[in-house]
Amino acid sequence: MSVDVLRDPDEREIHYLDQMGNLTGRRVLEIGSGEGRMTNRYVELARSIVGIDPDLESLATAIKSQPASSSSKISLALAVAQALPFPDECFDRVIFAWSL
Amino acid sequence: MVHALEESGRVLARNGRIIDIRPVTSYPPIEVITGDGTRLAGRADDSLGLPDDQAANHAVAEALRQGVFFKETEAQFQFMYYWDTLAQMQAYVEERLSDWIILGKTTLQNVSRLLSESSGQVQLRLSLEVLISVYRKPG
Repeated sequence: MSVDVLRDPDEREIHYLDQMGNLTGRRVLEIGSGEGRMTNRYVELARSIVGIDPDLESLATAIKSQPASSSSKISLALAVAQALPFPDECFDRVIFAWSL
Repeated sequence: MVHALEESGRVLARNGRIIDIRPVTSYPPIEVITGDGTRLAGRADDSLGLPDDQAANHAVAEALRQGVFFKETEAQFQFMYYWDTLAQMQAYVEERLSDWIILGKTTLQNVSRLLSESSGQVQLRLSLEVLISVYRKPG
């Protein structure tokens, strides 16, 4: 079902994320990346982004919604936060995006 | 949740940051915005999310106690949703937010009343309180 909504049109979330998290040039892991709502907003700032989510449908939607110009910076994985399939110390930022 | 935070600490580089962004229980206002101004219709009930809030806070406290990271800063801001019609708002809340937000009957009646009293362009707004906290992994 398609619904019409404006979410955070003032982009306060990204403003605070950037100001406080200093994402510029960072390797980011986003836990609970869902459909990519937040990911797509800060992708230009980060060096790279890996998004994980336990829901396959959400990840499929996220793939479709990625900006074409930034898709090479974003990798998505079906995974859970309790068992991250990544080596030690490989990210500069870990974002719990409405997921903790 | 504690284990998720421990895992996050593991994959994080030294001096890296964990950023926790999530809404906090606040009974968010629902407002009707017209050319004449903004009027409060009522508040949504987001108390269904309170157990999750508390569990997350407990997990963070435990991770801090274990020294996985230490708190650097936090802030709170409003995350706003806008709709053009009551039907759109109800449909969106039902589809996306019904796990933790309930629109009460009185509030919906107030929205309908305020909309019927309004002319011109109107919008409905729901304002969540969102907490952003930044934690640093020791170097």
